[in-house]
Amino acid sequence: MIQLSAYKELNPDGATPSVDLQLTVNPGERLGIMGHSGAGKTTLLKILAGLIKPDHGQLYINGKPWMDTEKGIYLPPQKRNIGFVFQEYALFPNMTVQQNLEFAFSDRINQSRLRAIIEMLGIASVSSQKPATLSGGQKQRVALGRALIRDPDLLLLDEPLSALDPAMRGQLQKDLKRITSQFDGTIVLVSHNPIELIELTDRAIILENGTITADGRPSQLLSRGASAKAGAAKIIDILPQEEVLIARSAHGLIHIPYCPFEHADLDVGDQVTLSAKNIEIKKEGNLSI
Amino acid sequence: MTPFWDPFLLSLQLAAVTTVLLLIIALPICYGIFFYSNRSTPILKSLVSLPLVLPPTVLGYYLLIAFRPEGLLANIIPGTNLAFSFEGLVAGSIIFSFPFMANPILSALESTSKNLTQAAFTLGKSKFETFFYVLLPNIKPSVIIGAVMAFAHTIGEFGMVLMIGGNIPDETRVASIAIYNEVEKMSYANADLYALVLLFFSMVVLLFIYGFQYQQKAKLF
Repeated sequence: MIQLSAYKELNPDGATPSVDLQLTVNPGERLGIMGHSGAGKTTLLKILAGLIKPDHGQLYINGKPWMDTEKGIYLPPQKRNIGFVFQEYALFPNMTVQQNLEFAFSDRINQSRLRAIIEMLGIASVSSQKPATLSGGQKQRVALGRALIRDPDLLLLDEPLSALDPAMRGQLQKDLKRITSQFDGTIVLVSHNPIELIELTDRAIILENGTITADGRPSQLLSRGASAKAGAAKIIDILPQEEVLIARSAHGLIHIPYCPFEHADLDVGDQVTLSAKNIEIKKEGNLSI
Repeated sequence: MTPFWDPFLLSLQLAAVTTVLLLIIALPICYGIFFYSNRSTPILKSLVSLPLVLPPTVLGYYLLIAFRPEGLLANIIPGTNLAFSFEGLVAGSIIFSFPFMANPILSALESTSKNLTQAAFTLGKSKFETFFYVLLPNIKPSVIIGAVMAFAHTIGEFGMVLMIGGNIPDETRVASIAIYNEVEKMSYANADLYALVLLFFSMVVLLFIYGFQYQQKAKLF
């Protein structure tokens, strides 16, 4: 179980937002984090990883203190058994794929574990290549493999699919689901994409200005709201600029996968388009919400 | 080899020893400044870059005072006298050329993605392992440029060398001093030759640096 309470003032350089968080995550839980840019999502991940030190707070993992500012305990990232997949993957450019994976071992290279990870991720054919020659999807797999190789207690994923083009993202999302389903530790995933969170996590929180404003099942969080407009606005709120969701309505219900919204003005077959910029219902006469 | 080339050989010897020692000294200092950044970092960086703005004669004067038989260095290590010696020139050159070696390395470290360092930390790697296995291989071009700059700058230094080394043949009369010496003797033909060789050398160094940078950029695109 992860028990975190953390408070951090805004950094003078403005690079790290202020946060004031209380969070408990159950063992083996897959937690999603949503929120605007600058809401504190990556900061939360980095606090868990030990890459950002809060002004004060506690972090206990299965009862063991990783951080307790009152007791003067602070485990550096090297002493925390974590796997971290960075947004841009952060593969070491000077090493081949295999060397990137081998570097993750603490001392002796466990060849059978290395082979198992390479096989699970399907990257055997590129194992002697440098990261610069890989596609986005291959880089994502290598970064995931490198994070998993030490069998971490906690797997932290910072928008692992955001650097991929939409066509590749669907396939990689399935792969990510398959791979993470074989991982029995706790996962914390940051994503802007509601569908990713619904597919990959079983609980989500929404961060606003460094505090948690909602906590529940991802689909519940996304469909909250009395009206379609409020519900849709909540989705639009967290969609990155380029994301567009298209759904069809049936009897006043907008069928966005996993996020049903009721709306009285909808007829069967109306097409609803949600994007970061607007909401549009296409029907004869082009009614918009 | 004629005596004409002796100052050049001495310059090359001085530059080679200085560059090797600078590499050994500058890398750990850059490591420290990069990983242990705190409120004193601006002071350290100012000290590193001080020789860039300080008149060489000022630095040479202070070093001469420190290196003389009754100076600061002799107080710390009794019997030491580095003034007017090749060893003194090496010590002075290390200080004088330090920013030319350290600044490209520091700039490269600071412009390397922070995520690379953090990724290595999350894989359990220490700061030293991260520096040695991740950062250093990725900033290799900057280390090479720093070494070439330090080498070339050592060849070209004059004011500081004259202050702490004087003009002793085969000991401290390097190429830049030899030009001065020939002009003083009004032997302009020899001065012309020394100057021409140094001009050629400087151009070759700059061509190497810009050619190397061009090659590195071409690799990226």
